[in-house]
Amino acid sequence: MSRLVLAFDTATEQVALALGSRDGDRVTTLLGRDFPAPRAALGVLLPTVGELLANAGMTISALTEIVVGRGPGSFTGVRIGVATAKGLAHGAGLPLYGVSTLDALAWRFRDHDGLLGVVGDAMRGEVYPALYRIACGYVERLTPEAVAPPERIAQEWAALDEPLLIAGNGLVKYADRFGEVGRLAPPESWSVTGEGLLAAYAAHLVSGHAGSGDPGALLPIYTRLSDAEENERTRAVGSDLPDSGVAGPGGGS
Amino acid sequence: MAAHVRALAIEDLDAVMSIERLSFPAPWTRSMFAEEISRNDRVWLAVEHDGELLGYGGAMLVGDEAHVMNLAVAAPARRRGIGRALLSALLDLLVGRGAHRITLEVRELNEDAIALYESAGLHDVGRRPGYYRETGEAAVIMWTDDLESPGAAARLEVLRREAARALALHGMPRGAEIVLAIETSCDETAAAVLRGGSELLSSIVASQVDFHSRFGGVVPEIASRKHTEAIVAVVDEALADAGAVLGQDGPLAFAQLDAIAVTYGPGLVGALVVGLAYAKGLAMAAGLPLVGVNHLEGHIFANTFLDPEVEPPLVALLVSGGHTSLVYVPHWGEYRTLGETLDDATGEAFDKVAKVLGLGYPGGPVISRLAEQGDPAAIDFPRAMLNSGDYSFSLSGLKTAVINHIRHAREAGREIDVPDLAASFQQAVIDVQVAKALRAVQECGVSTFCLAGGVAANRALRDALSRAMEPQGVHVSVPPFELCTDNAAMIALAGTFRLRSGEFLDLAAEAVPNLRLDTH
Repeated sequence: MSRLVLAFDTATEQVALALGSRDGDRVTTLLGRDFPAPRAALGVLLPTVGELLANAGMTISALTEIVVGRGPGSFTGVRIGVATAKGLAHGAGLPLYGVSTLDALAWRFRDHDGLLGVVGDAMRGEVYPALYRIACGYVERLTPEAVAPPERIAQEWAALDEPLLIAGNGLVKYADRFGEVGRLAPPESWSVTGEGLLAAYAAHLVSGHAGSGDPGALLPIYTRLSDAEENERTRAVGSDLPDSGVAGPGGGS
Repeated sequence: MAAHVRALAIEDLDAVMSIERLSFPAPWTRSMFAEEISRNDRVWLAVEHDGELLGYGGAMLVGDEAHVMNLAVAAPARRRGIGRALLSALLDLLVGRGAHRITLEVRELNEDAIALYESAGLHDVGRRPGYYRETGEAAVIMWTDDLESPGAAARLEVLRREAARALALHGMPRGAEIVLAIETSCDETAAAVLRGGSELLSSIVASQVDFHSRFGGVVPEIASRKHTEAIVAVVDEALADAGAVLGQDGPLAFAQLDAIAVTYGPGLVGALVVGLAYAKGLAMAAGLPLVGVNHLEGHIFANTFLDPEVEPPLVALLVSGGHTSLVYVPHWGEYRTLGETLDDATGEAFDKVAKVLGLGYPGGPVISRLAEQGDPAAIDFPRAMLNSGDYSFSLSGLKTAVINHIRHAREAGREIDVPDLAASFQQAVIDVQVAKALRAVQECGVSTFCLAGGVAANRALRDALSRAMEPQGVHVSVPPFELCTDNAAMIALAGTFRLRSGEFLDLAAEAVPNLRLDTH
């Protein structure tokens, strides 16, 4: 019997949602809703979930699992999605799975063939970079989650001796810089979609990396520590500071 | 557990038939219902409470129009908003399926039903004489305007709210409501379960203080991260403890709850967002009403936990790391702030003085402990705004005076008597607060006074207030120590009050970091 998946992401200014039906490790999008909602995700997310379910003629009791974008993105934005997903999954007794927001965007380009670079806007003059190889409809991630200055990433990518397609909301600020090192995807494809979330989730199912499904264990991907901890590290370069345990780059399942 | 709306199923038909036969002179047959609910161009909903069917309704979709064909509520559940809840859910679902206009027919003498449909925006557009053969009544034909129009959408929103309220309060075991409360406004992740507004089944507080102490104060980003990590485990622990207290096998289930209460302000916005987002998800998934609580109201309600004499009218002094204010409470739920601090909060001043003395963070409680061994008259610190004639407070001048005193002593090579300094600083704070609190009690003419907030744990302040007020016949209430600092039990206490008044948050609710206590 096919299962019903609710997926959403609020890590960026784009709110992305989808309802999907899953058969084994195949996930098909039934309905999707993607729209910009800067600083408004907390207010619009659950009403939109309700509308999506109503449009599908379903109630929350029909869901079998929840998928959430774990970032990286705006810290508060990521937490709105993750905390809401924890509440839904906990309250309905459903498993909760996470996908990287950058992966979800990369899966929008599954029909591409070759290298894809994704740059998420990390604010403060930095980007969240990720490199992917796409072949035969499969998107393979080549680099870990990170945060870096756009100049450094552009330099690294310029040194690749292969054509590169580049997407991501980091291009809103850094299109000029990245335009020199690869072909920029059309701006309407720079943001994450509900369908992309489901595709990234399906890839986790195939590879067996979907995680435990425990809503308590799922955590956001930040890539940065809090400012207070970053400053402390800067002051204490060379000394061995204990990790606060707050912000490991990979962070949880 | 609140009543809820769900899809009507074939298994419901026994219950449907018994309501149907008692509701209509010409009831539908069982096979008509079976045929109806199997069709894709139909929408059929049920309202259920505790496994019992309270009502049902269904409509037919034809292009961008829909025809409501049947709607009935069991006799014992009538006049409690169940029909309204059914109609609201039905209209929302029909709009979701693309309906722009909705029509129905109703018996001309069924005034209750006509009033309900009018409230949902259906107008009387004509009659079919003799439509109901059994009674000879005419059918009133009703239609909505285009439901996409702003007026109709606003009306549906009102209907939705009334529906949510009716479902939430249906069958609520008044006096035995079980409320799960969640609090994440600062640096404590807390959850509590309260029954009947007074019986605390569990209260869990996961303090993050160890993660903040080396920064000398709360780091908002760390607080938000820790809430996100802890929230599910803290709620699970609260449910497990409550289950154990009730002597049941395993944790309390969400289905055993009647409502979820959550702090939605004031506080650190990023921290509030985590608790509110989680609580909204939980409420939606578990089909429970969501009650929003003002954190400060929670602090005042903490006094009611062990002290049944606490009843408004009263005056409360709210003193914590983030607040210092005098509040007049004429009735529960109504608050008038008489005055507040113009600069630092009381707890903040204690912490800053402790920091200068190198006593670590949070140093407020350390200052209070040291003060017990010191002479409160040793140093004459300023009593700011003691005679200002209003209820405002200012603590930054006092803090500066203390810091200057320390600096001068250090520069002069004098050893500082820390207990004397702590006692003198604390006494300067207490003198002003007691004087203003006493005047507020007298001017408001109340005979009950409540101390609330984290600094309410300060024994010297408690004692000074009692000494000043009790001879005047004023009852002074202080919360139990464990309910002074941030906790979710106090949110459950205030949340149960809000639940009984039928005040709910909807799923679009936002965190309000500077939420005011005052209603006007």
